[in-house]
Amino acid sequence: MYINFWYPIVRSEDLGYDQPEKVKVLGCNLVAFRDQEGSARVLSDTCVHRGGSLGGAWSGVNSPRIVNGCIVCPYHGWEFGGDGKCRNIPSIGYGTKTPPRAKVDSYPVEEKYGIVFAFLGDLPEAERPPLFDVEEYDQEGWRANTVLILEVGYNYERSIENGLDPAHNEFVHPTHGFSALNRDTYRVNDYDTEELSQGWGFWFWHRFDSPPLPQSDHPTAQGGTPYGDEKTERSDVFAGSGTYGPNTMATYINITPEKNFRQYFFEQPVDEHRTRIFFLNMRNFLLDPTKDGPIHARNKIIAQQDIDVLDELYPPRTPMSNTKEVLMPADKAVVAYREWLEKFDNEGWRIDIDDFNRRNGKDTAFAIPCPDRRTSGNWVLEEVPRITSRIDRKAATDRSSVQAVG
Amino acid sequence: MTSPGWLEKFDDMSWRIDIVEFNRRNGKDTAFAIPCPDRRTSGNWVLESIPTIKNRAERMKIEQAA
Repeated sequence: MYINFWYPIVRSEDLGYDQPEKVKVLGCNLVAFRDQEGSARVLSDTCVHRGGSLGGAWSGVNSPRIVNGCIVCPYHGWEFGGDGKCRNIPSIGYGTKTPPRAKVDSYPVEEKYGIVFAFLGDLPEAERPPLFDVEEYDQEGWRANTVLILEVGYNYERSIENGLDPAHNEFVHPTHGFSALNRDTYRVNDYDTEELSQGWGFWFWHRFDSPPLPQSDHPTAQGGTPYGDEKTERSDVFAGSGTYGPNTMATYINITPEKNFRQYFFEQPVDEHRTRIFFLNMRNFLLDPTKDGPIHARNKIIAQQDIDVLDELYPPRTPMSNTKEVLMPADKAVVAYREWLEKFDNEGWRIDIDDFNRRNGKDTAFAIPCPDRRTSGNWVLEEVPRITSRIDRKAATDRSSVQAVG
Repeated sequence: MTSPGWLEKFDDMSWRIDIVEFNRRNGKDTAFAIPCPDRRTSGNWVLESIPTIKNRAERMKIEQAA
């Protein structure tokens, strides 16, 4: 897991004006709420007084949780603004000056595509990777489904690699593969990867042999053909896929040159073993809103096919070295993704998850560092530990292996 | 002096899994396998063999450390 990228926090529709939402991302607790202007704010959830959870249980049934744009700590009523600074400490009197250490990390926020995103890291604005651009969003001729959230019990890197993988469709998805029935002709066609036009990742196009879209006997048909007669014959289909940062993946599926799906997966690593996937589905055909339901239904069926397989992956995290797996040319995209992760390792952005797990949940509270940490001191919570480079990460793995051998 | 029990004999064969080390590293980014007979005669195995304890003396050390 990496700091210094944009992560989905909550869906816009799920963040009300009176109630905060507590979420765990990158192993750390965060709280999201809306200020007086309705702008979404995201803070570290741990009150620096004595560890209260800003977004946690609230017993003040009749008192507001958000006062003058400040989130109120349920434990002793400390009030924190959207900038993370404490405005009021009731025990010393409302309006009394608060000490400089009374502040929590506050993260830059952007609300787009129906999702509240936060930049979880300390890079100054000029150096930050921008939020991923979905160029056709809100454009004429395109329609977006409501963002679907998939809660899965596996590591987000495994999830991203699965989405990139052109060899799994045939076996995991009877919805759009032949399930290895065409043994004489099946193989994954060659493909090449190139740098993503937005940077921070890569892209590739791949051609595959595709069955007809589901007809009236399909579970998503709901009394008709979910895709009408959009693709009734077996044909070659072009699909493109790529990553942006460690946690964003896009897939374009051109069922014909004119009829396109574009799917975006903004992944929220809850911790190393759990992921919430914010799934945005765009299409430039079947624009009638009544098609939203059947398309969502089909996407859920496809997602469950992936989940059933990925739940069983071993080891849960991708191995440190590609020699710990037997990779094939079809895995070129997976390798390209891992090469990008290696670049992020070398930036010093990867959380040292073993050290974090060893120390978290005891007497230390961690926070993801926010940009203000670069320009001011007096921070109470410890920053999440990070590895300094790929070499550092490898050394840690090697140390584990040497100890194991004896 | 009593003779070693059967389990102690198996310890000395280096057949006991080092469960402390296994638990420490399993469930992360390493996949382990119980070694099969072919591992004695061929190489190129991708998964790491589960860690085992060398003998009783080592087992005692590990248990004392734990």
